[in-house]
Amino acid sequence: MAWYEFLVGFHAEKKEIVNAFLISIGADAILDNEDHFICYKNNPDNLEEFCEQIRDLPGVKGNIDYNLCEEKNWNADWESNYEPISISDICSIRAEFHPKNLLAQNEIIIRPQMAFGTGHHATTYMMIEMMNQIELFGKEVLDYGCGTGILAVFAGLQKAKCVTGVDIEVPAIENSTLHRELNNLDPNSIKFLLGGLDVIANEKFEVILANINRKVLLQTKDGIKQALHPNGLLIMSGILEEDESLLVNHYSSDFHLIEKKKKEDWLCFLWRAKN
Amino acid sequence: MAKEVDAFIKLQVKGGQANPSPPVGPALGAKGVNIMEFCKRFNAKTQEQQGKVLPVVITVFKDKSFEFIIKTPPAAVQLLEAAKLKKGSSIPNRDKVGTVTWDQVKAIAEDKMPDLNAFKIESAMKMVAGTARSMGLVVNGTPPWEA
Repeated sequence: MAWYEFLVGFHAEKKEIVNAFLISIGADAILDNEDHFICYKNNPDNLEEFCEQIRDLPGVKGNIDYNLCEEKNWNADWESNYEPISISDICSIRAEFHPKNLLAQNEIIIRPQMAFGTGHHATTYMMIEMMNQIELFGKEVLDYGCGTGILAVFAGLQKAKCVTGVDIEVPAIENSTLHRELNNLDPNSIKFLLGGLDVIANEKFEVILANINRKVLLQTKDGIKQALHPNGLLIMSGILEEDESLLVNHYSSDFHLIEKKKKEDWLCFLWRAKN
Repeated sequence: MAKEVDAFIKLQVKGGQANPSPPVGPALGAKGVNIMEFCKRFNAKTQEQQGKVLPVVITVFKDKSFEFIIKTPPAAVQLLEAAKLKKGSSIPNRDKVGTVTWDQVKAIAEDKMPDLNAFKIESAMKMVAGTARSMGLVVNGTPPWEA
């Protein structure tokens, strides 16, 4: 993924028009700095040609400078400053640089990078609360869209028999693997695979964790059902309150709703697969 | 007490596809915001507009928390879509490169009313029609207030 940024000046009265044309020629994103735009393009086929296209747009002023964007962990500043978090009295999540929480029943150590899930987000928080309410000991667990792998790690700490985490993002798999090591979990019982539900082939699980989003959850209901044992449990989050009825209607044909949680405007559901 | 604002960040990113790469990563990362949290929320809110470039204004507070508002695309972007044109005329007054209808102008004006400095739909339509003309688009027909 090579991102390029193009500095685009414009005549003030033409700002909106330049904005529209940048999108029409294929800008992937734009940062609006009031008196100029920074236009972003991922893997342009031909850099010079794209520059020329921008230069030719009506309202564009001056030369177009471009740079290859630096590849780095942009989240580093937040990561170096964040506070440890306690999820009810269930577990404490902290970085290596935070002091150990002596009162916590469970402790997860994370070094979050460019993947989602640190426990600070309402969805991760509720997922862990819901996981704590069911029996994970000795279970076969799938963490679908594992992000930082935090849920898989929690399942491992709860002595699940085996845990598989899948994610379509390479950084997520790298970060999950790192978290398995930081928490001294056995790589033979916790594995992380790059991909979607297709990579688990015909494996079946007793518990599926899915903190993703409404779109993916709606699209992959059949795949989730197929990967669950009869009567298996599904914990899902990443759903906004406004999407509740859509999701519940979609899942009710194949799953019994057992419990719902709400935190801020996010929801978390516990389902049991119908036979 | 209201939280102290550190910065406003104006971005345009594709619906449902925000990720920590540029520009989201550098723009928010520099302010110490948890980028992944922004992405999760933005993507959840924009799933219906997957792949469409959407303006978002992010307010970053001194305590590194944030709020954001997703706006509808600028009138000029909507006009290009309405005219099904890729690129407007480079000499707007000489080359007429496409057409839009007054109904389309009205729909865009209604959508952008909150952002336009107009109290009446008619004034908003005039502004949108003006933008259309300056892009080389002809607004077909008679304005509804003259019909």
